Amino acid sequence: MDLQLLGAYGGLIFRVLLSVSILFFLLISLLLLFNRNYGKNVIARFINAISGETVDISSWEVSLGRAKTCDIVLNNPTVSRFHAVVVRRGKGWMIFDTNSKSGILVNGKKIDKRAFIYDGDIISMGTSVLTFRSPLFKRPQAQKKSDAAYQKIPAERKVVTAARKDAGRAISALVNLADQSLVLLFAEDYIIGRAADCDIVLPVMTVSKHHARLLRQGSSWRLEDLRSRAGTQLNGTDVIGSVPLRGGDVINVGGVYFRFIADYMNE
Amino acid sequence: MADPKTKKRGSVYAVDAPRRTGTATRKKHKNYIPPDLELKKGKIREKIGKWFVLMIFLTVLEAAMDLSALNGLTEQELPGVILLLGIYFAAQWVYYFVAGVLLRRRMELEMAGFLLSNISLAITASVYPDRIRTQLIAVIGGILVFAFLTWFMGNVNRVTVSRMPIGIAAVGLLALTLVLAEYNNGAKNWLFLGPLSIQPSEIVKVAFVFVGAATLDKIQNTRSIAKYVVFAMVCVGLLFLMLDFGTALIFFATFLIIAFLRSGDIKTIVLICTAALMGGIFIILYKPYVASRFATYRHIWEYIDAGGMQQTRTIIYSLSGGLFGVGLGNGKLRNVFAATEDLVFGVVCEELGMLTAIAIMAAYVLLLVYAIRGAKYARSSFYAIAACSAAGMILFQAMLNVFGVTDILPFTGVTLPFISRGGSSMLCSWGLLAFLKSMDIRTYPKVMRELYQQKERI
Repeated sequence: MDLQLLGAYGGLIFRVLLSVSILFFLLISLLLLFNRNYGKNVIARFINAISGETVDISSWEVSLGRAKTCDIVLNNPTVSRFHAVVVRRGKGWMIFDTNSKSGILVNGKKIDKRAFIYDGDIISMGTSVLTFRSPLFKRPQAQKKSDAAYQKIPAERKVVTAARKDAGRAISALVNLADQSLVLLFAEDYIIGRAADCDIVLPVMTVSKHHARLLRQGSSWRLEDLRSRAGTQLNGTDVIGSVPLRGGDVINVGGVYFRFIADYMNE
Repeated sequence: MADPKTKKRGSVYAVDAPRRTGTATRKKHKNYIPPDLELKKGKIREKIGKWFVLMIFLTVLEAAMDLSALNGLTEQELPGVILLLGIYFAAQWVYYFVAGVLLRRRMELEMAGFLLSNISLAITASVYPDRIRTQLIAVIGGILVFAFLTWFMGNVNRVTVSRMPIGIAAVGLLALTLVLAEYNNGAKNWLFLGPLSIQPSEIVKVAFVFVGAATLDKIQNTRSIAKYVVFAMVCVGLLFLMLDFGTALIFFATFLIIAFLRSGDIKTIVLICTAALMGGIFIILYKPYVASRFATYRHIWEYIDAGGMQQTRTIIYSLSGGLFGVGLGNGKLRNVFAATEDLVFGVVCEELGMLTAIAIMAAYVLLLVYAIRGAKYARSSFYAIAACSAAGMILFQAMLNVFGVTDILPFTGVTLPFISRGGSSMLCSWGLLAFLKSMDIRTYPKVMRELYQQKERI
């Protein structure tokens, strides 16, 4: 089109309109990018199994560790500085072990580099225990049956039933909250500590060599602190001398948490 | 009862009336869907209306620009050029129909890209009517690359698997260019494959960003960027051997952005910069032919008709354009060598006006601002790093070009993204834009749907 046809003023008006429209259009189209119609949403959750504290996850990738730069900081000496990364990827959520020292346990099973995690899974890093919540991603049922953790119980129950008959009393137990491992208390006296000659050996540096003692008195149990460095706690209060245990009590032995079960058969 | 809106603030009615300001009250609703989205067949989708109006506006705007570009063409050239420009309009509408209507995607990045590409097409049609066919193929190719990359990066697993092969292919391509290419305008960066001539360094730019970005588990697993430093140094080194200093500088700047985003450590960056500065001084001292490339820098008015000709003409003619330009086809800068490639900023200033030039610069800046602002909403650190470094690369390249032709920085002959004529450059620009597109989770309705489903349940 020959702009001469528009005349001198017409040509100028055309050029003004054109350049203003270009500016207007570029600004409009790019500023629309900033018109975000969604914000930060909580898409999953971690619940600290020991303290009950809730940590919301609102991004697709979160890092966990002791370092302050991690998204979720676990203030626990048994957790590596950069311990794990949890990502929403592919068909569900995944956890990656990022060269951590103590590794990651999912439902008590150690994982190799990475694993899928589902709603309700218990994740242990060092002595920290977190429950993962994301209701959209349930563990597939078929996998649940084949899982060794769910088949273990009947075999143990047989042993406990026999022992109960012999001793004529209820058999108590300790559950390690970190890896969900079970210690059945058949004998009279247990010493917990880091040293190899202990009855329950905890190879964790915050645990003293001979840390605490469990003693049976008739049908009940007592917990005693053996002048340990980090101290022993029962339900959050320091143990001085010896204290009686009740079912459901949470025992803290230098950062390693146990749940006490008074009668294993009734659990 | 009086209308609550007419009541003054502080009256009893105004206190009782529900507060309408702020989004907090609206977002409380469990199934809240933002007003520019709709729920259809269980899918959360974009509404079409806004984008349709903008497409019409864009078409009218582009048609006006193209019509003024036809001013001064001969009778024989006219039908061919009109046909080719018509094909571009058809291509835009086909893209809009597929992406905007069928897939219900947002169109803002594409629309900005369409308009910038149209400026390039209009200038090409006006200056070199015989070369518009190649440029049109490049633009349509660019849009296809954009669409492909947007789809490709929708899946994080696909991305993580393909990073290594792409990195190897990129280094291989650069090495191949160094072996096969011959000197052209003082640099050895062109590959001629029969009728096709490509600039591999432009294609490697996209791969460079792709390889540099990484997911959080990768970043935290190794906690070192040694591998990427080696890759980047090989790329920059090969470009130096090709004597393509402008592109080498762009790669280096992008490398710094990625290194910072991946390590989060400013000390490392200072160390890298110091090393690079020392290396640069060393090269200039011991390789005089490198220094000779920059001889006219800050002395263009002394070599007004020799080495400084392009820069001096750009500065003079840019001024004569004024705020609104002299109109397409009426400029003088178009007769200078490489007017539509390296000096295209001057042509825009002269013929389309300073306002258009500012709009283009603002677009580059907005892309980077958007990448930085949107990074925290990205699905993975891969997308955040890729988008920030891609937008940074576009802005840095534009800066080198604009400051190069105006003699603020040495003239390195890099292209202006989206505006310069050149196939490889256009493909690269659209490829880099795809990183910004894929960062935005609104691009993938599946992801958006899951976001809302999770939000409802938790």
